[in-house]
Amino acid sequence: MTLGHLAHPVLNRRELLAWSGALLGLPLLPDLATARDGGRAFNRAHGRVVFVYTPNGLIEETFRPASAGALPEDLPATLSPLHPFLNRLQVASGLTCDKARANGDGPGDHARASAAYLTGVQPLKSDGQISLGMSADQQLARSLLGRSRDASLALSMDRGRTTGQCDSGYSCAYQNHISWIDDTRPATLHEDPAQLFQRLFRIDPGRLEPEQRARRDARRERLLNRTQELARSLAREAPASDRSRLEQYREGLEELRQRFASGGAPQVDAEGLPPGSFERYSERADAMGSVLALALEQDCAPVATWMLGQEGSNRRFDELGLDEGHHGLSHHQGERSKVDSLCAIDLLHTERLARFTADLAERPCRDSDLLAHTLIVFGSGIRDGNRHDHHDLPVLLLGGEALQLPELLGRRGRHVVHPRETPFAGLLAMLLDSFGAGRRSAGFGDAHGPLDSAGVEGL
Amino acid sequence: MVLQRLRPDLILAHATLACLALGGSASSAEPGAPQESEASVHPTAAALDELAATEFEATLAPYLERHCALCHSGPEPRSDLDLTRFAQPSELAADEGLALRLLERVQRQEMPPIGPIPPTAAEDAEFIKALERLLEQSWSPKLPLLLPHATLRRLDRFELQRVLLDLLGVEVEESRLPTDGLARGWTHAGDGQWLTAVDVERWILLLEELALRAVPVLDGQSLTFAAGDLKGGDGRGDWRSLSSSGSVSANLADLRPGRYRVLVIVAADQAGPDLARFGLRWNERLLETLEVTGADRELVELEVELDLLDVTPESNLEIAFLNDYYEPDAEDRSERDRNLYVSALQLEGPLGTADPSLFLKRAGRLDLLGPALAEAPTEAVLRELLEPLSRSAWRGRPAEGAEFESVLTSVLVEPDLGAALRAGIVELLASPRFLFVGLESERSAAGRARDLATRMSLFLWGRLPDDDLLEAAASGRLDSSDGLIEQTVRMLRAPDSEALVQRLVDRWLGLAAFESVAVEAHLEPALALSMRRETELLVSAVLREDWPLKTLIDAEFTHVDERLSEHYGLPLIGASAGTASGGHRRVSLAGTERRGLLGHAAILSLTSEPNRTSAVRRGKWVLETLLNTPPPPPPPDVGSLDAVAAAHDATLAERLALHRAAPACAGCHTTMDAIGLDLESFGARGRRVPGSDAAPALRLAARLAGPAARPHEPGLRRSAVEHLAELALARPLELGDRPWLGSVFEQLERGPATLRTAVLGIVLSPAFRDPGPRQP
Repeated sequence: MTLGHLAHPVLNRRELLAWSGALLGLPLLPDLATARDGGRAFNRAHGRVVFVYTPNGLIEETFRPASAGALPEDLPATLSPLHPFLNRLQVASGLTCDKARANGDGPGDHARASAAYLTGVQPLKSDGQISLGMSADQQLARSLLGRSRDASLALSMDRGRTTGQCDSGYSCAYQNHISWIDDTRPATLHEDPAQLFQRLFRIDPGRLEPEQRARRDARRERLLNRTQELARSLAREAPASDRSRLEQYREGLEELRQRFASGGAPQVDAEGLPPGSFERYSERADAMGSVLALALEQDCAPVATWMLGQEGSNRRFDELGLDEGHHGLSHHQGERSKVDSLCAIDLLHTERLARFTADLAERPCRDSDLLAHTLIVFGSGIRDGNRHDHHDLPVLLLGGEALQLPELLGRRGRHVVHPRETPFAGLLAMLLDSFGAGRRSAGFGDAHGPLDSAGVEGL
Repeated sequence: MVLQRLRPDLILAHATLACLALGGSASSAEPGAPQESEASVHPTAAALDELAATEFEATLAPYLERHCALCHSGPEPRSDLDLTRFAQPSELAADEGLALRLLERVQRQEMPPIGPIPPTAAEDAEFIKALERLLEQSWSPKLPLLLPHATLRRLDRFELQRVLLDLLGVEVEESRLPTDGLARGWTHAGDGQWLTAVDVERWILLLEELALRAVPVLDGQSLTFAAGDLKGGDGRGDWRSLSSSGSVSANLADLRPGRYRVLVIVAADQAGPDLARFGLRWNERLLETLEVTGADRELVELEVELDLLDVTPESNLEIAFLNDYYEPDAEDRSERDRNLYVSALQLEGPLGTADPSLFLKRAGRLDLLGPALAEAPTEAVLRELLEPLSRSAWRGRPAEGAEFESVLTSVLVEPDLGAALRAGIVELLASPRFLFVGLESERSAAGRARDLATRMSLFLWGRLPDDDLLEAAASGRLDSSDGLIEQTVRMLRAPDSEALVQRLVDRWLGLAAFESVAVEAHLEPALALSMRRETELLVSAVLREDWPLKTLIDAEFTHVDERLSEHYGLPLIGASAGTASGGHRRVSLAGTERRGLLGHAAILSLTSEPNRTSAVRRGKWVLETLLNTPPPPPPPDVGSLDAVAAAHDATLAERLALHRAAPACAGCHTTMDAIGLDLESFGARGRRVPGSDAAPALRLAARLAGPAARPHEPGLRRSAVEHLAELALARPLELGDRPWLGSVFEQLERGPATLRTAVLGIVLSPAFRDPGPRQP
């Protein structure tokens, strides 16, 4: 079935089944009126989407279930931390990110992998110039503007700053970001859980008296208006190339003004405040995960991206007793010890995912839990770090059962295998459409339309 | 950029291959960019075309057509390299990286390969000669200039950290500042920068916080406890008295944690050999011991600063009598009993940091810190404090301007002076006039002079102009070369030019990546720091002591501390203590195999894998950094992984040889690997490999430090000048820059060939002095 069916005014049994996906077992059966628009209104009001990215690919033998169909009780080792969510998990195989391939641009698979992952666009290869496209999370977030204080949160476990050229003549920004606001600007990363917490929940320092608050708000309003005015008049006089720089500043001031005007931050217990520093990567990642879970619960933002590592990351996992960095190991050339080390890293990453998933599952939301209202898309733009290939990507879908998702996105407890070369961007297109964030049956990036169930195995 | 619009074919390929990247900023691709009329001509390119036309048409173009086009032309040229796309000599000259590789490969007879009509030796020689001449002509100072527009830039994190410390006296963590973009490795170049809403939000909230640190809120600033408010001791009217060991205390459950100025008014009955002593205890911990210096029952005011942190509902500040004395039998009645009387306790604070407000202190108005900040703001005081700030932050923009006045009016509505000052600070620094660089020029000559001063100071100091420089700009002294030289020399001499050293080390030498490399390689952090310091000190010495540039490569001295000398196995004996800097001392390298940068552990580690050396990386670093001829990324048709995978049992040298065997790889790897292999006598962390032959490393250093055949020849000189110029101009260098760059190279040729000569050449260049009007 394709999303074209959604325009149909009457739902037949098949469609209802398809749309409700795996949630028949849960007491969440949507009313028919909601289902009739494909549940878009419901999703827009209550849905959350989180893209979790892992760099350098994953070792396939410990990740991918042997066959399509129901997920086995004994999950492959890398997936084993997700066993508690066996019935809330889909392994999606066969998806390809073609724009991460060279396509005549030569080396640079890491830069392209992260750049193309959520955009479906081939990045421009040039040192100093950036040209890409808006990423799916940003398109979704933009369509949900006004629902919450933030549209999308971009999280990363790495500091964005790196030096000079990164991967083979590409700008560094490609490797550090999967979330792109427009052709030239990646979304600013939050790298520190404590700072993110402060930003989301402590934008008002201390408890101000109403009178003080009013004065401060007036002061901010004055400042932002006046500064915008100046930026605008300077931009008018500036050459075109400079105008965009001043405009970006002015737009930022305006967005901040609206954010201030939208009222105070949600008040949450200071207990959620993570410490300022961590000994281990895993602790820091878990802290990041709990701040994100809290942010989703408070509906600070409906959409988030979370890079467990920047693409090509050479993080050294001391806590696993590993000497060599992640990227170095990923060129394993079949060497057993390196492959084993990589499996340990993959497992460390899926453990973080499982912790985050469990955190969402423990938080009540409406008449079920937060996980049921959150679709998690976990994956990498590289299949195998040793080969730098971009077909048959490792992709997991978790949660989101309360949302109104088409079967291909909503089916759980299955290993779903798409035909070879199915664009990953088709999954993004389908996701955007089920939130009413894209034109129906329109494509996204290099996908001409949403996923098609023809030829799919294991549903 | 004009070049780009005129000749789009030039930027299609190899932009990254060229040492001087052509094209450049993304801006020109934007709609609405001013369109040059079709008739307008790139003057540099046109003049060069005229100069070189005959030879191009007679020799260069026919050779390429006849001997290269078979493979390197058409829709899918070999190695993605189309050698028939040059319609004019200037197009070939502009892609200098490519031209140089053509020269090298023809000289080495690697190209063209045997074809249907192989070139004769004479043809090869003629081609080489013609191409060399073309390049030489393209660097001629006699050609007309075309200076491209630099995209509007903002202060980067490096600069903001320094500038905010200067302006407000507060330190800011780098990660809290707006994200740096990167263009050609630089964070300060406008074409690589962007701002998102999150960046702007962080920036404005950060400014609010910094303003609060600059002018702290002192609520509860004057907590006074009279005798009646204190607990403990015996109450006697205006006193609480302690006649034996014991204490009086003030409950401070609601105190804002921080540093406080604590005033105690006490008196004592003095008796015995010692003066009466008391302690100030906070949460039962003794923080300070004081002596009552007055005579019997004379009121004494004692003041100390205390950190009163960890406030709990039970928090008390106690005044504890520490040395009770009682000799009832003493002859002198007044010597029989020592008692302490407490009259009052006063707290002022919190004071913020140890130095409560550097901002007010520098303005000479620390006296305001206290009740005065809570009073209604007056225009006079605001003007006194905010005018100098606007002068620095807005780089000498006259304070009488309407913009400053409107800030002043706007903050005068605040209820108290503190709030008004803070609001003023935020307003002044949130202004685009602070964050962006170069907004003044189009207005007036005075504005252009201020922008020039700002460029100088950001270039040489990484901070905003000081009063001296602003004064020079205002008085027109920067219009003359003498004035520029005077200021540049002054600024290079000042310790602040360390910022220039830092940026050269980070970007030019590539040590910005060293920190993460050191972590990956398990380098002990202290050792990594002293390695980096060694390199900084060499660059600093070359800059400030006017050593010849080539000293960077052949210095027979270095700077080590104990840890690094131990690492090298280099005795510190004979080290001159006089040049000590952070524990580093200058030592002679005579009799060792280490010379210059290529003997520095930081460089040698930077260019190694975590566990082993990498000849390729070292070779690439030398080509890229010292010679300024970065090898291009591997061509698209290279099958590197499979070849290497097949040979993964081979040794490093064997694997490299295999790699070089492929013609697509050979072009670069022949040179790159040879250089790297010369340095194999140094291990992955810069230690000498025992028993290895160090002669190749010494020969390499000597060769790299040797004289250049022509002023513009790729090498250390050009690398230094071009990196300095990119730092100074915050934009890529283009063909239209070559005439003035050529004249800087000639100045260096005439000597002295020092970094200072290069810096002066750039500052005095038309590109730096007058980057041209910014057309709206």
